[in-house]
Amino acid sequence: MTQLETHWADQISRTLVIPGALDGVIDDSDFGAGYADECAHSPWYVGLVLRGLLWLVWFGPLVAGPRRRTFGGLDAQEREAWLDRLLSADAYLLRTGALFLKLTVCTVALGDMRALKQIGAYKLDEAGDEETTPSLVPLGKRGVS
Amino acid sequence: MSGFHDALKAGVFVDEADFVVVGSGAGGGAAARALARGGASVVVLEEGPLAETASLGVVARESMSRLFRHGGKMAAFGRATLPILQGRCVGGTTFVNSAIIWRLPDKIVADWVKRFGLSATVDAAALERVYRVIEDEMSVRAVEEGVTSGRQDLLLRDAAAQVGIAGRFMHRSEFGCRGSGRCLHGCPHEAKQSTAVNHLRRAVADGANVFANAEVRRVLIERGRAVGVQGRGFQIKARRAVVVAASAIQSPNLLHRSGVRHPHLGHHFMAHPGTTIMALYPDRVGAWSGASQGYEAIGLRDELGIKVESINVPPEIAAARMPGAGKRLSSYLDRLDHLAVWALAIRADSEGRVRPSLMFGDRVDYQVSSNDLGRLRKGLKRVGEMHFVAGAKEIIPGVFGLPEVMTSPDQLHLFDDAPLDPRAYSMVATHLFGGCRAGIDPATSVVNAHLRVHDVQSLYVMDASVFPTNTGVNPQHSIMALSTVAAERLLT
Repeated sequence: MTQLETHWADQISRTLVIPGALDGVIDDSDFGAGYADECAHSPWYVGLVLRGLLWLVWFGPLVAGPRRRTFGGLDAQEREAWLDRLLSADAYLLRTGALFLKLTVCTVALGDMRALKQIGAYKLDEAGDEETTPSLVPLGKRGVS
Repeated sequence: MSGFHDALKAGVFVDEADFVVVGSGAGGGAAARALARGGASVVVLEEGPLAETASLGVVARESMSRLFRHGGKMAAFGRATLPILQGRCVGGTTFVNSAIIWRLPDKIVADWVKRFGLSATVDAAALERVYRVIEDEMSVRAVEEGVTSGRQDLLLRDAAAQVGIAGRFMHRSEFGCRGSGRCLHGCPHEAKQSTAVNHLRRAVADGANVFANAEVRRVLIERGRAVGVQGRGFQIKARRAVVVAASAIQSPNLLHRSGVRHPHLGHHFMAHPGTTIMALYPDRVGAWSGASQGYEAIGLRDELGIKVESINVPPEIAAARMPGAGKRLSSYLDRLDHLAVWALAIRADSEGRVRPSLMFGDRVDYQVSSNDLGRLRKGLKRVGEMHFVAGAKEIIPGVFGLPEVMTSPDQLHLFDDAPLDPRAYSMVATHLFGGCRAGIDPATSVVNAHLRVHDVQSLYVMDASVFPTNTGVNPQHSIMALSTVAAERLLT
């Protein structure tokens, strides 16, 4: 992803997952870098789709938005409304594309130990959970060592 | 020397074995176990990595990138895009599933015997014996209330009881589960008895070699007989047979790449497409504590061909299904720990096709039919009702054309008019079947009743790709049982 696309990814992500969400524990995360990383680690055609979605969201308002500006030129409320519009679009490809972008942003934003702890997921705060159960115990029952 | 090896570090240093098994999931793991136990020399080749337990994490995108095929971003294409989840690591999907155990239903057994002549492998007495061994070795047990259950399991149990739908705690293969809710990420305690933890270790104890990062490109077939396999930088001779157990997508494609041609190869691909209804409760649910899947409502199986399961979809993924963006989404994210997620898996009649693709590696064409969707929307309505009965204040149907959020049971009638269009639903396919279907008629089936490819000696397929129909239940156990029966027969 280019630097510009990474910047777009950050701006779009911060519109989807606004500062203060989850008590602000992920406010300092670099969503743009996370999105770029997700692109880099996806199959080539998925990476292409993820980049294409950034272009769609960024330049879509220029064509279909009320103020004929790019996403960057919209205020916070308009940005949110634009994403809402895409997510509920009648056109299946637009709607699914927007949902895929939202999924990617959510996996990047909430894929952070601070967020997972905040949600109370996976008993992350319990002590001693890192110990491994000796898996050879059930094997031992069958006389295998 | 037997053991687990990383082909990227050590290479595939074995050049000959009695049996070469391609794939290390439910089918390959069970076959390797049975063959090694019988004294044969066995090599298992897995294209994915060997995930060290200590390295397993809890971040969905990292786990999926590492342990799932195409990083969890694989999909089938039809009118709608249907994501497909498949494990791609030592243990295959058994490493990342919820270890749910179901025997093959009697009706399915009878159907396979009657319509496809599979009595040689789907033999009731042989299956019963093998089931017992697997259930003992893999420590199959029901989720225990208060030990490995979570609150969303108990909510589903109580709701099912109140609306008169039969249910039960999941039966899972685990030993020492602590209810960490991390099944999808690979069990951090090795409590889940995946083939990586159980069958393959037993096979290694009996002399087998398991190679990770060892992708097989083709099966070598000479004069109508499978003689070995070829992969990236290695070739292994199979003295007795090659067992392909690479899944309902990769097995037919591997056969195709190996020169096997059959009009039904890659056809009859089936799945249990599933979707979820999420609901927000007034009190904390804590869906990510307890077994990843703890309770199942099974009373709709006969009526609708649908099984309802509690499931702790990773919070990152559940968040994406919450309505809206920005402030609205944020208000839901702040209540994620009040969320309960119940999944519906349909025994779909729809069939699709898999084939190799130069661009994508594998191509899957599949479309959920309107008949299947008709049953699904009836099921969604029932599950929505169950959520409200259990005390939910808001349900999130996830169906385009319906309200994003329903706040009253009075809205449930809207499901009756939900579109019969797959593009309106957010579905995922997990259990996959077909592509190399078994049968005694060589004109209509790819493998015979012993799971050998018709007209190719010494080439067997032992995974869900041989299933001639889908099963309506979680397939891991039946795959293991059928593979074990077929593999044991290879030794005699």
